Parts: sequence; structure tokens; C-alpha cells
Amino acid sequence: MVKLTMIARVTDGLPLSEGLDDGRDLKDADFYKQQAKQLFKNLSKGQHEASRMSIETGPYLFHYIIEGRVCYLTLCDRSYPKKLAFQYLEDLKNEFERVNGSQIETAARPYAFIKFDAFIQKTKKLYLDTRTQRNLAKLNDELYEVHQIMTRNVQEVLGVGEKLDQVSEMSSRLTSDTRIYADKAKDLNRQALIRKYAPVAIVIGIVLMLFWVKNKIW
Amino acid sequence: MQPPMGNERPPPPGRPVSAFVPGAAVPPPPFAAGGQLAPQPRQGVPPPQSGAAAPPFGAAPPAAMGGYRGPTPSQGPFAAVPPPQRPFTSGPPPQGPFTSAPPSQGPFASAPSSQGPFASAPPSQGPFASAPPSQGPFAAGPTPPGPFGAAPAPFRPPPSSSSLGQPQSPTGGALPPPPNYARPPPLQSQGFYPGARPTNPQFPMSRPAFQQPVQTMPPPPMGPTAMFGNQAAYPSTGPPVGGTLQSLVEDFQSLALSSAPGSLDPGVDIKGLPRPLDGDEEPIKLLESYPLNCHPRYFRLTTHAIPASQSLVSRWHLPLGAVVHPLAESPDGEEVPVINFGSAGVIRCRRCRTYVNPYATFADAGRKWRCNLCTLLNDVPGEYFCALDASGRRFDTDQRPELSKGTVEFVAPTEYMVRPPMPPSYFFLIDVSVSAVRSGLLEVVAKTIKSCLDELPGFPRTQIGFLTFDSTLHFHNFKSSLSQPQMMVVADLDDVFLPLPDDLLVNLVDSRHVVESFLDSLPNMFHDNVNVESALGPALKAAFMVMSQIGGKLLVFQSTLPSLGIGRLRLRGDDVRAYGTDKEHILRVPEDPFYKQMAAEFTKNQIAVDIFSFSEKYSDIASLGSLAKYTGGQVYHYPSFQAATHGDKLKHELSRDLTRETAWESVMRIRCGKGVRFTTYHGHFMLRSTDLLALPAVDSDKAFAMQLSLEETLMTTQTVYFQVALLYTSSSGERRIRVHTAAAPVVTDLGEMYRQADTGAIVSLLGRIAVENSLSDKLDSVRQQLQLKLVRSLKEYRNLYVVQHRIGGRLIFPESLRFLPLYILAICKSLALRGGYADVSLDERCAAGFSMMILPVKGLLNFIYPSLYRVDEVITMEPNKIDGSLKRLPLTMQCLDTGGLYLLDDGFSFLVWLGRMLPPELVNNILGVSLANFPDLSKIQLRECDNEFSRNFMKILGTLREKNPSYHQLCRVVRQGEQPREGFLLLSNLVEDQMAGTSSYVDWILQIHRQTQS
Repeated sequence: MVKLTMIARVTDGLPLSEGLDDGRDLKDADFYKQQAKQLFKNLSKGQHEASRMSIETGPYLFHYIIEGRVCYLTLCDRSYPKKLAFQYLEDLKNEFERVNGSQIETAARPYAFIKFDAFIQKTKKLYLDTRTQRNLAKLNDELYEVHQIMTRNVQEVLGVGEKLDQVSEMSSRLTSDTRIYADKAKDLNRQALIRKYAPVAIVIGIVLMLFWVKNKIW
Repeated sequence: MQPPMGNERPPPPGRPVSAFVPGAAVPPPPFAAGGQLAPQPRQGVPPPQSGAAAPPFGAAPPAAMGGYRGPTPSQGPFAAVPPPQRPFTSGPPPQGPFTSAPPSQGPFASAPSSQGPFASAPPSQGPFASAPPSQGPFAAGPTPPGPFGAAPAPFRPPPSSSSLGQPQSPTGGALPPPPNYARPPPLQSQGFYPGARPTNPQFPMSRPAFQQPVQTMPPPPMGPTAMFGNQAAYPSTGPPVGGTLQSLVEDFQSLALSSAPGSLDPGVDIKGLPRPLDGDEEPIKLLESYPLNCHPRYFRLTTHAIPASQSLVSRWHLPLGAVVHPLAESPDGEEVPVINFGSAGVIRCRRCRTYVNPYATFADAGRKWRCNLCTLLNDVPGEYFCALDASGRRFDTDQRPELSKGTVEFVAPTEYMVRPPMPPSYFFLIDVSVSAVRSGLLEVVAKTIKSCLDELPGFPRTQIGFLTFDSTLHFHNFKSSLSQPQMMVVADLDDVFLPLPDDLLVNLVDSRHVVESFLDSLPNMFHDNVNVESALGPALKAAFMVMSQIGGKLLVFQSTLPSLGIGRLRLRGDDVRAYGTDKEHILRVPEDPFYKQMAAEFTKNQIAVDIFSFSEKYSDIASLGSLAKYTGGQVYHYPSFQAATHGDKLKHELSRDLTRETAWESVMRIRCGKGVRFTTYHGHFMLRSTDLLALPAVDSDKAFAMQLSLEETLMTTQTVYFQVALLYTSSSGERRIRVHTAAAPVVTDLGEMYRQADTGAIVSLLGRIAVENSLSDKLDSVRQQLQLKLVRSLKEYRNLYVVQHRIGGRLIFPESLRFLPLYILAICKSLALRGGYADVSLDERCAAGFSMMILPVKGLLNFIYPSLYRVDEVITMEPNKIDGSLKRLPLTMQCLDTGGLYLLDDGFSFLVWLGRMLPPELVNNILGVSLANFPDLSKIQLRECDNEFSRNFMKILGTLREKNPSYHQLCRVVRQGEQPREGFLLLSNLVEDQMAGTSSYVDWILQIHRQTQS
């Protein structure tokens, strides 16, 4: 059954709404909320392969759909039918777009549409029991294809971001290191030059000076 | 200085003498007078001087002059001068003139009769009057006042600095002898003034002399002078007791008039004592010197001058701290601006986390800003960058409220949220045992809640739920699909569980009809209940389980002592024998730790508890109240609740509680600059770390107080900044940060601290400390501590000035604290601290204590020193003139005329007092019943009757209630001489009168005065 529900803007990861008293029957609710926020952050960096995806985390699955720059995400038990979970998100999406569609881009503060939590709450209740007639009917309905939806592990997903971060960090370190290397090489060159010609120059100098002194005296 | 003076003087003496003599005799003596006066005024010994002056002048005015000048330095004249005084001597040695001191009183008395000299106005009358010196001398010190004025003027200037000290000497001198008064009077006429100027002619030197003195005196007359002037005036009378009543009166008035530190003589006439009849005085003047500060309605320091050293703190015996009223209602047009930083994030100091504020300075062409609290240089985020003008000010300062206003609100970004903003939620815990049913409580509560459903904040997210209990717990299912609520009874009190996972706390919009039908049926549901038990403890646990996910507000309606399950309380009884012993305070602290633990749990889950208590018997408010105390809640106490009489009050206060704008799941922190630190906090909250106040709910009716301490022995900064930040969720679901910023100067002078003292804040803080002390100490010693603080501070103040001014026997206090003695007396006589066993019931005492812990300054002052109005004349006026014609009267029996109709308003209730000689028609019209029938006044309900008097009267009540919407003032009527009601309703509130075991205002002043002298 549905444990958490969150809605966020994909462009900047700003949370728009969240289910009321979510996580009441979920241990570690904070941990999963944190994970969800990280997911949003990754999404906002443009690292999403698909607009629909399931992500494994511990005994649960995150499901999300991205539609119109808004990400609808929910956390369910692994045993909860994928079909229903996505159907649930689809319902949320339709209602959310209908009610707030025009203001999504202009929302400036977090949880600007927190009033939507009442609808989330209500819808969630409809999906609580997988065996109600309504839900069974939905399960049997082949209209909605969920087979192709990818399932990945949360570590992988979050890891992608981390790895990318690492790579970019390494490359930037590389650039700065090369620059240092170039500087040092130039420096060395200069020193080598000095070492090579310095003795000769000094000898010539002395000789010239001697000449000059000689001329002066005589 | 003196030497020169002396030299110069010599010449003058001769002339002066002659001149003076005449002068003395007549106005001409201006000089003489001037000289004399001058000294006197300064010193504040006008009387003597005048007296003395006159004589001296006659005799040796010159000398006097010399003396003064020399002395200008103050003592010089008297001390030093005296000797020189030959001139005087000729007369009577210095003393003669001064001596007159005794006379001083005499003279004054005679002259101005009572207020005469000092009284600003009166003064003119007497000889001195001419001087009215009072004003002249004292006040500006400007020459104005005749004799005194004149003289003083010259002197003062010079002395300015020294003047302070000097004044005393005169006083001293004054003290001694008497007799010259007679003459002085003649002088008085303004002639003196003129005279004063003429003086110059007389003494060619004189003028120069004056000037010189002045100049020499270096002292800048300005500040000090003024003050001294005043003091001097006061001091004038040396010996407190000695004077006649009249003299006292005079002194007194002078006090009242003067705006600077003053002195009081004992025996002063009551009318002259300072009284706060204008209520609270907000120090708005500070905004002139610190226009970037937040308004004082939000933040008030007990003194707007932070002491620079530890030693200064120890000499400031009053509390050093602040009163914060973070959500004070602002008048229309002054709404707090809301700022959204957007992607820049809230601009805060990296190190101390201070929010950007008007006192922050920008540097490095606008790329950096310096935190004004910790002086760290921070980067300005790119989005927030703005160039600086030539003076280092940002060009956009005026467009950005956070850089130009002391109070702003920031929209909090996600980092400030641990969870999404919670919906406002209200959970009602209603005791339905027999006493609640019989008193009609259920009906009032149900009706009120129902009428408020539309106005509950936070539509459409508002959550609501109910739980009723007697010896069992009744849960109510409000599932929106039901048509009627379902009740589930849980009888297991030891192991409380929720019969339903959901629908006990529901969305109001969805389940509106179910909730309404529940409220409609609530009174009938328990109509036949005869259960006398009350299982409050288990009910609290159940409520906690229901609310713990969301948080919100828990309203507990309790009408008996909790008797079942965990948290049951016993009749500890209000034991007479405990009073006066070490066990006394135990009655005022929670008996069972359960309540405090519960409160801690509630706070952790963002639940605020408001307690409504209705018991006619003891219900241990001390224990119940701790729930409110640690959760930011409030205690309402309705002793012996009867729907018929108290229904209105409950209805209004409950609706106010439900519908006022409330800030949810909030935390408050006060940051201050280096060197100072807030140490103790007083109010209703839970301290989460050393300086973070957790406030599950907070609203405009709650204020907090805190005490400051210095961390360093010496402050190096010039200014200390304070920043109050309240992070909260508004009812509309927005997370906001309200920030108030204020600056205060650091001073090294104790006198300045006294000058900048804020009586309202001090009283508020002292009151809270006293209430807290009463939880660990006897009432008697709490009152003594209060008195001790007052005495110590006045003594310290006295030591500042008394030596220089030789004010001797007068009580002196700074202008800023003129009401403090009365307020402290009023705290001692307040409901929470007055008397002992018999004076106030324990529950009432505790409830008043809880109220005093949250009241904002204005409310507190009105609570301890209620407003008394005479209304019989006002109600005969045109209705539209009524508002302006209500005048507050001093709280003493003497103000009550038997032919009058009076109204006493302490913010919580109204008391109408009917004088014995009041025309019966008037009474009948207002009450709607004839007094001749001897109606039971305790049951009478004031309703608007069909006549003008009644309409006007109700209009007065209406206007007063509008001014103070936090509580509904229940109106009670009492007839003169109707005992015992008159006694506890009215007489105990007349704080200026003597009551059993307490002193009257005059006695109190005398007492304080005696103690400051010892």
C-alpha cells in the first residue's frame, strides 16, 4: 500500500505538495523522505532516463512519473501491484494539473500547493486495499502498460549522480593539475637555461671587467 | 573656578549688599534673589534659599553671590562659600539663609501653600512661586523661575558638570535655619528675574562672574543640569519628616511635575504621588534615535542602555532583560512586510546565523556584508548583489524592507522544514462528568465551537476532532461518509488504545456535517450522565495518540479534579497551616510529574495545550496548568462556572482562542551581539536547547520575557544588537520567519541606565520572576524580595546623586521609574501574590500566576493596576462623546464618591460599583431591575435596556472590550457596603489603599524611603 506521496517540480526540485500525516505506519519515514528528496535533486539536474520509473529501496519501491515538469512520487510495499501504484499517480497527476496547472511555474515557496494534501489523502484511501472491486478491475485492465517500466535500485540511481559528480570533480582536478604542470615545466626550463649559460656569462663578464679596469688604469 | 569667583565677588559684595538689601526687601533684589535662588534651585533647596536668600541678600547678598559663583561648582558655594559668606554671615551665617531650610518648607508651604513652589504652576504664587522655580529651576533650569530660577540659572550653567554635585550643598545649607521666609516671599515676584538681570548692573562683575562661572564650570549644563535641576528641586526639603503636611505636598507635586529624577518627602499628599493613569507608556521615542529598530510593541528592553561592565550590572539592581511579543498585533497600515529571497536563499551570517537586517553593513563594493552581531564578513550571493553608493549604502536599500525596517517576515525555503507545513488542527478534550453537565458547560462549549467552525483558520485544511471522557473515554468517529458520528467507548484506562486508526481527527471541510451533528447532540448525549469521575490522564494519552502525527492545539475542558487513571490528583487542599511555612510553595507546584512529562511529549509533537477549568471546588490548577506552561498554551479559569453568568465570557474567550491568528509548530530564538547573552526565559514554552524556545502554537496574546547577562567583564562595543527570530507555520500553510531587530547603546554611566529604563518592561519581568519565585518560596519572601529589589535600586540611584546634592531626606527616583514603586506594590497585591491563605483561593492564585506569565506588558500593567472610571456622568452624555471622556482614577477608596457609579476594569473582568447615594432611577435603568427589590446582585446580568443610560453604559463596556479583545470582561455589579462581595471584588483591587497586612501607597513610599536611607 501507499506509504508516502510527494509532488515536486522537476526544474528545481522544489517540493509542491505532500500527503498529510504520511509515514504514520512507516518506520524510518524520515530516511525514505530524505531519499525521495535526493531523488528530486537528481532529477532536477536532468538525470532522468525515463518519465516513468520504479526504484527499489529496502523493502519498498519508489514509483514516479514525470509529466509537465512535475514529478509525482510514491513509496509502496514491494508487494503492492505496480499497476495500481501508477494508476494512483496518474489520478494525482490529472487532478493536480486540473487544479494547479497554471501556477506550477510561478510557485515561489516550498509546498505552495500544500492544500492538495487533502486530495492525496482521499485518493490514497481508495488505493489502500488492493482487493476492492474497483482496484481489481483496474488490475485486470490491460489498457495501462507497466511492463516496460524500468526497475532500478536506489543506490544505482542515486549513485549515477554521485559518479557523475566524481567524474566532473576528477576532470576539473585534472585541468587544474595540468595547468600547474605546465607552469612548473616552464619554470624548470628557465632554470635549466640559467644553469647552462650562467657560468659562461659570468666568465665573460669578469673578463670584460678586467679589460675595462685595465683600460682605466693604463 | 571658585577662586576667580571669589575674587570677583569681593567687589560685588559691597554693592550687592546694598542692592540686595533692597532687593531683599523688594523685587529689586533680583540679584540677590537670583543669587540665592540660583543656589537653591539647583540644590533643590529652594525654600531655604529663598528664605535665606532674602535675608542674606539683605545682609550680605554679595557674599552670597560670591559664594554661589564660587560654589557654582556646587558645594563650593555652600561648603566653601559658607565661610566666605561673611556676607551671609552678616545675616546669619550661611546657615541662616540655608537654615531657612527648615523654613524652606515653611516658606514653601506658606507661599505656595501646598504645591506652591514646586508645583509647576503654583510656584508662581508664593514668593518662590515667582520662581515657580519649580519649573524654571528644576526643569530646564533655565532662569525662568523668579528667585530661584534666576540664581540657579547662572549657577547651573557653570556647574553644569559640577552642578550636580553642588546642588546638594545648597540643600544642606538650606536645612538649617528658617526664619527668612517672610522676606523671600516678597522677592519672589518675578521681580527676581528681572532682578537677576539687573544684577549685573549691580554687580558689574556679577555678570561676568556668572558667565565665568558658567564657562569655568565647564560643565555642560545640558543633560545633567536638567536632571539636577529637578533633583535639586526635590531635594529642597532636607528633612523628610520635619515638614508640615503642606510642605510635603509641595515636594510631592514638585516631584510629579519634574520630569527628571525626583525626590519625595514622606507624608506627601496622596494626590501628588505619581500614578500611571495613562496606562503603559511604550518607549516609542526610542524610534527617533533608532529608527531602524523594530517597534517597541515587539521588543522592549528593561533599559535601553546596556551596561558596559559587570560592576555596572551589579549596581543595577533591577532585572536586566527584555520582553518580547513576537506576534503583537500591528495597527492597520503597518503590516509586516513579507520577503521572498527566492533562489538566493535567506541571507544569514555564516557564523552566528543572524538574518540580514538594517544594521548590517556592506563592503567591498557590495560583494560582502558584515554581520552586525558577530562582525563576520560574509559573501553576498550573486542574486542579492547590489552596488553601493558613495556612503556605502546599497542603492536598493529603500526597496528592500529587510534593509530598512526593524520587523520583517521571510518566506522560509525547504531547509527550514522538517516536514510539510502542518494544517491547523484542533482537538477538544471535554469532561462530561456530572458537574459539567449541571453547570451548562457542554451546551455553551458545543454552541460556541459550532459557531466558530466557519472561522477556524486554515480553510480548507483545518483538522478537527473530539474526545469526551468521564470514567471512560469516548472516541467519536467523524468519517465523512457517515451521517451521524459514531461513539466508541474505551473503558481500559491503564492501557489506552485507539479504537480506530483514522477518522478521529478529520478534515473539517469533508466531515463538516458529521461534526455539526455531533455538536448539536453533545449536550443531550450526556444529559443524564451522573458519573462524577474524571479520567483526565488517560484521556490526555489518547489525545496524544490521535494528534501525535500532525500536532496542533489541544483544548481541555476540565470541570472536576482528575480522579481516575494515571495523572489522578488528590485534594491537596488549600491548607491554612501550610502558609508561612517552608511547605507553602509546594501547593503551587504540580504534584504529579505526569503532567510535566506529558507536556514534554506534547511539545515534541507540536501540540499546544489550552486548559479551561470550571470547577467550583479545588481542581489543582497548579498541576493542570503545567500542561499549558510547557507547551506554549494558556490557562483559563472560571471558578464555579454557571452557564447563565459565565457563559458569555467562555463563549468569547473560546472563540477568540479558536479564531485568532495562530502561528504553528514554531521555534523562537533571540540572538544578541558579542558580550551579552540571554540566560533565563520566562513565559509559556519549552526550552529545547539553551536558547531555543519551542512553541507548538503562539499567538498575539502571548509575550515572553528573558534576562540578560554580560559575558565579558568589559564591553568594548558601542552598540549591542538584538535579533528575535520566530520560525513558524502560518495557518495558511506557509512557513515564515519573523525577524525583529533592535539596537541599544552600551553605556558606562549608571545614571544613563536609569534614564533609559522602561518601567513597563521592568514590571513585566519582575512580575514573572516573582510568580516563578512563588513556586519555590513563600509568598511573604517573594514580596520581600520584590521590595528589596526596589529599595536597592532606589538606594543605588540615590547614592548617585544624593551626596552631591545633599538631598538628604528626600526620596529620589528617576523620572523613567516614577511609577515603579506603585507597580511593585501592585504586583505584591496582585491576585497571584497577595496576602495568604484567606485572601485568594489557591486555584485562582495559580491561574492568575499563569496569566501573568504570558500577558503582554500593557495587559499586565492593567491587570495589576486596574483602570477605574467614573461613569455616572459619562452615561448622560451624547453617545459619540463617550469614548474620549473616560478618565482613569487613582485606585483608592478616596476617589469613590458615594453618589457615583464606577467601573473597574482589570482586563479580565469589569466591576460596576454603585454608590450609596446614586439616584435610584439611574441604577434601575442600567440594571433593568429595581434596587428596592433587593435583587441578588451576584446573579444580575447586565443587558441593554430600552433607555439611554443603559445604551450608553453598554456602549462604554463595548468600547473597553474592543480595546482589549484578548479576554472577555465579565461584568459584575456590587453595591457600596455590600459585604463581603465588595471586599473581595473591589476593595482588594484598590491597591493604593491599606488592606489587612499590606500598606497603602503612602505608607509604602514612606517605607521605601526609610529603607533607602538606612
